[in-house]
Amino acid sequence: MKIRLILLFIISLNCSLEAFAQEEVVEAAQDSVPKKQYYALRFGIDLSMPIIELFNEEEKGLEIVADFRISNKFYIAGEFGYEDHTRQEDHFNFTTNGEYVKLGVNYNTYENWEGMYNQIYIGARYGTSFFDHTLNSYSPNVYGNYFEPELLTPGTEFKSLNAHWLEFVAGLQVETFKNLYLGAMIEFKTMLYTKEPENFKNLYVPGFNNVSVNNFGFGFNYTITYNIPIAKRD
Amino acid sequence: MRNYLVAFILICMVFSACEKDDICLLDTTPNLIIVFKDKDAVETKKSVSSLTVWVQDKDSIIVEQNLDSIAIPMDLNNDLTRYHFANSLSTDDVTFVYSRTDEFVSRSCGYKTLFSNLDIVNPTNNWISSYEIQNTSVENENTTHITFYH
Repeated sequence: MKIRLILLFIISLNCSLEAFAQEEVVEAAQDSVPKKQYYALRFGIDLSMPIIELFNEEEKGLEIVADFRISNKFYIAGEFGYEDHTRQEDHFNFTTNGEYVKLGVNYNTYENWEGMYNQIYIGARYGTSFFDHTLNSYSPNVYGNYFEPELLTPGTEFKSLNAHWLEFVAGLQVETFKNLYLGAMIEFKTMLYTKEPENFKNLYVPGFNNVSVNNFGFGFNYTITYNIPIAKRD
Repeated sequence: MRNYLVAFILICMVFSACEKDDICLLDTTPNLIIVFKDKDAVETKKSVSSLTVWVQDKDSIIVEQNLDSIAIPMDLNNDLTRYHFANSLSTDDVTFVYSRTDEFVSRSCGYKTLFSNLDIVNPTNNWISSYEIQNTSVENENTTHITFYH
């Protein structure tokens, strides 16, 4: 037993020494061959939106995502999309449709091998959206049931609204085939400014999703993206 | 650090199904507040004995109670509500007319109906001798809207 432990110790020591030696070799190699650095443009779409659309006909949307590698750590990243979203609340039903753009940076915490652009990242975005609401139906809310309110279908349109917000994001990008990446990202959003409609409220904003009572939002996406290495940097 | 981040992302995705974040408790369509006062001493409240209140073809909303003020709903599908007020001796017929506007409250409460230009038409005077409209707009239940003297 004792001998086995000692042997194990020696072997492991040996391994670590070997690793140490390998590192030296790698460093030497890096010294002799100048490191190639690429900018890389990666773009693709959010897969979650078409999937949701398959199961729910009242949801339509598309999100195009892109990021641009400026260094090992930093990527410029953005999303662009449109949404047509209908929501049923307790006492009313409305449709929101509009476009949105988000732009920001990702900070990559994952150490890649040469030539790979996998990511585990955190980042920030500035987002803005231009949208309309349509109030499809509502029934006035009344306490008690002595008079039952009728369901009204005014179809009132609230046009030319906009919103501006900040996002904190975290996500992954994993190369599954050569230059093809699968990604997932979560988004925490906080509203900076919205142009509110008269006699209604921006309860849903494209790109921001549901606006909570304290003006927070939450979102996620699952992306498939294609990577194009563009320019060499010396 | 990296593992925590991955775990954090996964947990957030699992719990991303959102709970409702507000519940409607207050601030829905207001009731009409009616106060009953003494016709001989107009400043003092006077209870109605055995008050019953109902709308034609509907159940009574108040049944044989001794009250000096009531809160009753108005028909939010029409611009008038015809109420019957009965005390222990007789019945009076009062028709309230008004205009309606629907005001947005919140996600959970939706819209509430507010009433304005409140008026009374063709009241009978069997036991209610007169009335006074204190407030022509019914936007909340904090003030008296109508006073009945009897």
